[in-house]
Amino acid sequence: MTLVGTAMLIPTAVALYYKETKAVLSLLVCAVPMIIIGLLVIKLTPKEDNTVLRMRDGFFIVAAAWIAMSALGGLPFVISGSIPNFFDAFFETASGFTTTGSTILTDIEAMDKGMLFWRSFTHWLGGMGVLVLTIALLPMLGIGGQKIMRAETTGPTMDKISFTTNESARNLYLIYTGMTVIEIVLLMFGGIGFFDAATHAFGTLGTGGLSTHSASVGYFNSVYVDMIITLFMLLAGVNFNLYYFLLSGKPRNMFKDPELRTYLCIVGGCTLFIAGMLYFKNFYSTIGESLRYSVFQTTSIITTTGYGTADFDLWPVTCKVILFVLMLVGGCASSTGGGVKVIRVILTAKLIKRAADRRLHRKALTPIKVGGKTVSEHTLFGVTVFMALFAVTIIGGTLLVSLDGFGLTTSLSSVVACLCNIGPGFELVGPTMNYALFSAPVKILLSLLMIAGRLELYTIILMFTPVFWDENR
Amino acid sequence: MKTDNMSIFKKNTDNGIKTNGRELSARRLMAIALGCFLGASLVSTAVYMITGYISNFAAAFFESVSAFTTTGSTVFTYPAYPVYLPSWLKVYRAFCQWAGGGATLVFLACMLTSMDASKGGFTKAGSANGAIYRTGIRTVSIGRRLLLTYAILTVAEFLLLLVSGCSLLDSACMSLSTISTGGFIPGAALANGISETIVVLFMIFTCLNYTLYYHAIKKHFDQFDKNTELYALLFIIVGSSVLISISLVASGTFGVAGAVENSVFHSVSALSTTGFVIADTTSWPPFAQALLTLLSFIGGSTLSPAGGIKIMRIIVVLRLISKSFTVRIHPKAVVTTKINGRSMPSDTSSAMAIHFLTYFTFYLGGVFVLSFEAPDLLSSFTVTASLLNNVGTTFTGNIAFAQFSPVMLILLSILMLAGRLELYAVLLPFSRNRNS
Repeated sequence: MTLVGTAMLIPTAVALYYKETKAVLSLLVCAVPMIIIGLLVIKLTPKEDNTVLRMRDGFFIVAAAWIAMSALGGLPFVISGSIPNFFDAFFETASGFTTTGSTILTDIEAMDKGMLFWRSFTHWLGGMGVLVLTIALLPMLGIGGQKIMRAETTGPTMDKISFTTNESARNLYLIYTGMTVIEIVLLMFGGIGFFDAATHAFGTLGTGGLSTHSASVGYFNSVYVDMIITLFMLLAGVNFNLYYFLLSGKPRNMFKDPELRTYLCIVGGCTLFIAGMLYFKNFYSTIGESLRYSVFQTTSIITTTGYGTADFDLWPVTCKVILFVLMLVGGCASSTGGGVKVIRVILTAKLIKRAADRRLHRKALTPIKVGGKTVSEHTLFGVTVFMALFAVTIIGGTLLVSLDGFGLTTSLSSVVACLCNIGPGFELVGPTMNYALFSAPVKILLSLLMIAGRLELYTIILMFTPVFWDENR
Repeated sequence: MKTDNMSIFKKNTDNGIKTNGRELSARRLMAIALGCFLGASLVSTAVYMITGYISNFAAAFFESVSAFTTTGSTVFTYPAYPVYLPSWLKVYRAFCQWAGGGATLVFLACMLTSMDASKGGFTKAGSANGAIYRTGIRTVSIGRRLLLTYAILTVAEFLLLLVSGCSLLDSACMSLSTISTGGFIPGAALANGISETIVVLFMIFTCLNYTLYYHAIKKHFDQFDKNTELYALLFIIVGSSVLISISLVASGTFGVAGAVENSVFHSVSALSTTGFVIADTTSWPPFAQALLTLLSFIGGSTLSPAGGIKIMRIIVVLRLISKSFTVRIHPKAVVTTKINGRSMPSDTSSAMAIHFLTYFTFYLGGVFVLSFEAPDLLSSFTVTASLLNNVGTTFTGNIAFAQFSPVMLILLSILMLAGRLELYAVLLPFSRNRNS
């Protein structure tokens, strides 16, 4: 049942997207058989949905689906010859679906437009979660929707705003699509052609960051475009469930959200600090210019998009450290951004403060509150372990990547940039560089890290634990 | 644990504090420890300034704190240093480290015994001081025994080094720096392979849990068998030595013999947060550098003068993570964390995990502070690690601390103190006393 479920999900999911990217023949070559196979599998699947999906199966389906998706999604690149190496194609597609935006391409402009469109489109699909889309579109699947959705939605589940799974998934996508259309239109007002507008809108809303130009958004060199993209990156980093409040006419509830407030404060504070630093260190001649580049890069990094209008690797060291920390922070829960999520950072900060209080004042254990609501110790413990696992994953990943021999900053920042789904790191993987330099095993490792980061670590890392495969435990 | 705790501190840090016979709370303990370290550092600062070897106050303070926290970073610029510094100053510098190491041992022992499970940190079940409880010795005598062990180790190393052919001065500086995990040897050279081996062995000895020596004397050898921390420590040393050897041979930096020698020495030096170097690690492959940096974060055993996060906390954090895997798959499973053959209360283990996260928060804070004057991203990362973990040397090249501004040197001194005094003590001046 598990296997059939998996087989059913992948091709249908993949097939659905291929219908929209018929620009290139090689896409068709992949798409048509996949649609057919997908449909066949659905037809042939026995309609007995009584089997209860176990936790194990839920994790397996999601993990397998993401890995298979990245592999199959990379096929068009290989077949069309634009990325001849399979591992490169796998990396590129994983980077697309996980909304990372790391690329191994050295000359992006030389690619076919159809390929570039597909590449950006994977961001859009991956942003909200491919399987969530599948659930939204195929209610007949029915099985394990809630579990899959939980595995694929970003951030810890604090409270349930959602209704039934299918309905909420559909609503999320409606908001998501609406915002994308608005951004495309606004970008086209800025004098950008439909192709560039659409691909950049996909990359923005999905917080991806793959651009159709080597110089990224810096290519357009327009304040208007910068500001539109900054605004939509910022919006994409917000908990999408909050947009319900906006639509249901209760905007005040939205701004009462403590996570959103912290998020906006962080963006504002860091933007001003970096702008000040850039201005006083004479990187830019005017305050306006400093602000323009500072706000774009800050937003791009904290939302884990990874678009660039300036090469921040040349900025003062302090600015780079701030950006590094922002990479780790990431967007809000249930947004399309990566990282550890703002809410977890808030909770960790409160936990640390509580621990210090207890050490220094012998204070009793006080409950931790966020936005007036007490957070259960169980959740807090989960957050603590998650953060620790995150740190351990980064350290382990860095050790493995450093085997390629590229220096500690490059190794560390490439791991963080992939795990947090950002894209550019520092030094050799900086904003003007790319990931082509790594060896094939490291590329696979980084791809897995991207998927692990996108699926909140556990889904992928569990696949490598003995306890997962031990049926008796 | 009564007043005599303070007299132990008094002995070690030449800083007298009047005691009033009250029982030590964690807060008071930290205040005393912080006071002792700061006081001793100020006295030592005066020594440097009066004798004229360092004229700048901030630099002299940094040098003193670096010694007492057993870090071993220095503001003296390297090539000229051994030449113009008199022998008495070298011994004085090494002795400051030794005093700091001893004070740290006593501080840790007091903290372990004054805290119970509900306060977080190391606890009865969590660390080897469970044995202390069972034997029913009072803190004072524990402190005395610890210092005795500490002194015996130092003398033993001193004699052995002397026999192996090092000069009197070198043996004294080396042994004082090794046992305290300070790692500062001004111009001292190791005579030969034998003295190198001696230093490696004593670096391992000093980062073992000091309660093990107590058990060894009492012939409680069963305590060794079930000591998770001891096994982990040996496993880490062997594992990282092998990995670094392979990486050194593969990159062609050394032949097999040289690679083994260098990897063992540097692994032990990093894990014990001593910071001795016998080769230029800047040209080593990034993997070896990354692993060495990681080792310095792991640090030594709970009750030892070594710095870092401490092995016990790392073990607990890793166990919590693997437990969380099981719970993900079987949401109703109940899994306990077992350390030294006993299960650990969940609030203790989660307190350790939070300490682990706090450590990295301090680290990132330090990186941010240092970035204002560091030449590049890499040096702000590695130098902060070196200071917070009380190592002293970085695996990516030495940094001239003398070039930093006075404010920066003071901030970096605070960072070293934070690493030495289990992080929270440096927050003390900034926290309001709300319940006493």
